[in-house]
Amino acid sequence: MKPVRPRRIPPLAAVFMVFVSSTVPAEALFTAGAALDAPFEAASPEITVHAGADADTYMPVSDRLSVFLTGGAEAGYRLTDRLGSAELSLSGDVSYRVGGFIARITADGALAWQNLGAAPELETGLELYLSGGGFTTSLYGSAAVNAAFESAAAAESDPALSFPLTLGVSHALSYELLLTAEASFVPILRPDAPDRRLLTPSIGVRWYPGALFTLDAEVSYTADRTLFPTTDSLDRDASDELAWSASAFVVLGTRANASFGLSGAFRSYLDQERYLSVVPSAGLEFAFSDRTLLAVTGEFATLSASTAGETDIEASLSAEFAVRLE
Amino acid sequence: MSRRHTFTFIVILFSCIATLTAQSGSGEREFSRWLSADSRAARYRTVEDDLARVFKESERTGVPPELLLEKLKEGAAKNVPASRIVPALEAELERLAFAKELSDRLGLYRTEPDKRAGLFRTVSIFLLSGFSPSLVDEVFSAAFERASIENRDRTSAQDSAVERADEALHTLLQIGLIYRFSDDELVGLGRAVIASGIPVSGYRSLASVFLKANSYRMSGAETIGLVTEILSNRGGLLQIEQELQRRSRRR
Repeated sequence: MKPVRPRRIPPLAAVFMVFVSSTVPAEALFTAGAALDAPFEAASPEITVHAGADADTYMPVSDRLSVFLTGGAEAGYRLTDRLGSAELSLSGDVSYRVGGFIARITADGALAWQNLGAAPELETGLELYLSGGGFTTSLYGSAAVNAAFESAAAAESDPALSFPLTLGVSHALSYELLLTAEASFVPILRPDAPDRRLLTPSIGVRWYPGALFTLDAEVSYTADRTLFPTTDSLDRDASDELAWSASAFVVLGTRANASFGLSGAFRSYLDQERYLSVVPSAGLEFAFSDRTLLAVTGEFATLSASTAGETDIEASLSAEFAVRLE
Repeated sequence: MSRRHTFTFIVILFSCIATLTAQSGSGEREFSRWLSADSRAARYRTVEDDLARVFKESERTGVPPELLLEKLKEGAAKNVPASRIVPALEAELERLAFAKELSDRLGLYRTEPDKRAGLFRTVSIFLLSGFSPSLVDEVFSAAFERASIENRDRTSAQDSAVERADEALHTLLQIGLIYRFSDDELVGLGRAVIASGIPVSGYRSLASVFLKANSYRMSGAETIGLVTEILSNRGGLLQIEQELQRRSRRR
C-alpha cells in the first residue's frame, strides 16, 4: 500500500500552537490543503486532504549563544481508501557563534502514523555541526546518530541506527555564486537486514544573480554497499546512484512567486537492474496578505525500470493555504 | 585706485550683475519659452500662473529649475491633465528640495552641477518609489561615512558614497517586492549592507536571498533579522546561505 504523504495537523495540536505563539515570542504557520495524485495506470486519482501547523521560536541567550525550538504537527486523510495519517515532530538546537565559527548541537524526534489505526514509528536524532571560515570560504562538518524504531509501542525492539558523517567546503564566487563540495559517509545498522554503508560525494551550486530570481542545482553520486564485505558472499543489494536536482524561484510581482524544478536519479544494481526517474515540477504561490498565501504545485513523475521494460507515470497536483501567526 | 583698476572693477561688477540677472528667473523663462513653443504645452496654459509659482519657488530653494522642467515635459508627453500637473510638480519640487538639503549637508557634488543634478534625480526617484526621507537620509549618510573613511580623495569619496547608497537603496526596493518592512527595519538593513564586506556589485544578490527565504516560507521579520545580524557581524552571503539552509530544514 502506498504510504500517505506526511501532511498536517489535528485540532489539539493547533490549540497547542496558538498557546505557544501567544506565550513566547514564536511564529506559527498553519497550513491546510488538498492533493490529487493520479498514477497513470490507476482507475481513479487519489485525493488526500491535510492540515498542519509548525511553530518555532528563537531565543538569543547572549551575543554568542542562541537556542531554537521547533514543533510541528501534521495530519492527512486519503479519501479514496479512508486512510488517516499523522506526524508530530519536535526539534531543538543550541548554537554557539564566535566570529566565523559556529558550533551547534541539534536534537530532534518525530512520531509518524502511516495509518492511524496502527502504532506509530519513532525517529530520533542527535547532531553536532561545526563550521568555520571567512567571508568567502567556509569548511563545515557534522556527525550525527539517528535511531528509527519501526513501532514506538514496541520500544524493546532494536532500532535501525545510522551514523552520518559529513565534510564539506563552501566558496562564494563573485558574491553571487555559492559552490559547495561535500562528502558524506553513513553506516547503517539494521536489526532485520544486512548492515549497509552509503558513501555520497556531491557538488552543488546556488546562484543569487541579483535579480529577483534564484537557482539551486546539485549532483550527487551514492555508492550503497554492505558494511562489512566478505569475499565469499555477493552483495546483491549493492547499487550506484547518480542523482540530480535543480530548482528555480522567480518573483512574478509584488504578490506572486513561481517555482520550477527538475530532479531525477539513475540507479544501477549489481544484478544489472536499472531504474531511471525524472520529476519535473512547477508551482505558483500567491500571497493574499503578509500573512496568508495560496500555493499550487504540479508534479509529473516518470519511473522507468530496465527489467520490466515499462515506464510508470504519476501526475500530482496540490493546493495549500497557509496562515502565519506571530 | 588707478584709472586702469577702476575700469577693471567696473567690468567685473557689470559681469556679475549680468550673470545674476541671467540666472534669476532663468527657470521661469525656460518654462515660459517651453509653454509658448511646445505644442504639447498648450493644455497647461490654464494653470500657467500656478506653474510659474512652482518654478519661482524652485529658484528660491536652490533647486535647479531644469529638473522641474524635465518633469513637466515628461508629464506633457504622458498627457497628464492640467488639474494634476501642478500638485505633481509641487511634490517633485519637495523631493528635489530634500535632495538638495541632503546633498548640501553631506557636501556632495557642490562644484559638479551635472553629477549634482544626477544625484537629485536619483534621490527623487527613491522618494517617489515610496521610501521615506529618513531612510534615504540614513542610507546616504552611512555610505558617506564609510566612503570618507576609505577614500582620501574627496571626489572618489563622493562618487563611492553615491554609488554605494544608490545600489543599497535599489536593493531595498527589490526586497520590498518580496516582503513589506517598516522604516526602522529597512534602516537597520540598509546600514548593515553599507557597513558589510559585500562589494557594491554584490548588493543586489541580497534581494535573491530574500526571495529564497520567502520560498522557504520564512517570515519577513525572521529573514530581515537574520540578514541584518549576519551582515552586522561581518558575515556575508556564505553565512546567510548556511543559516537559510538550516532554517529551511525546520519547515
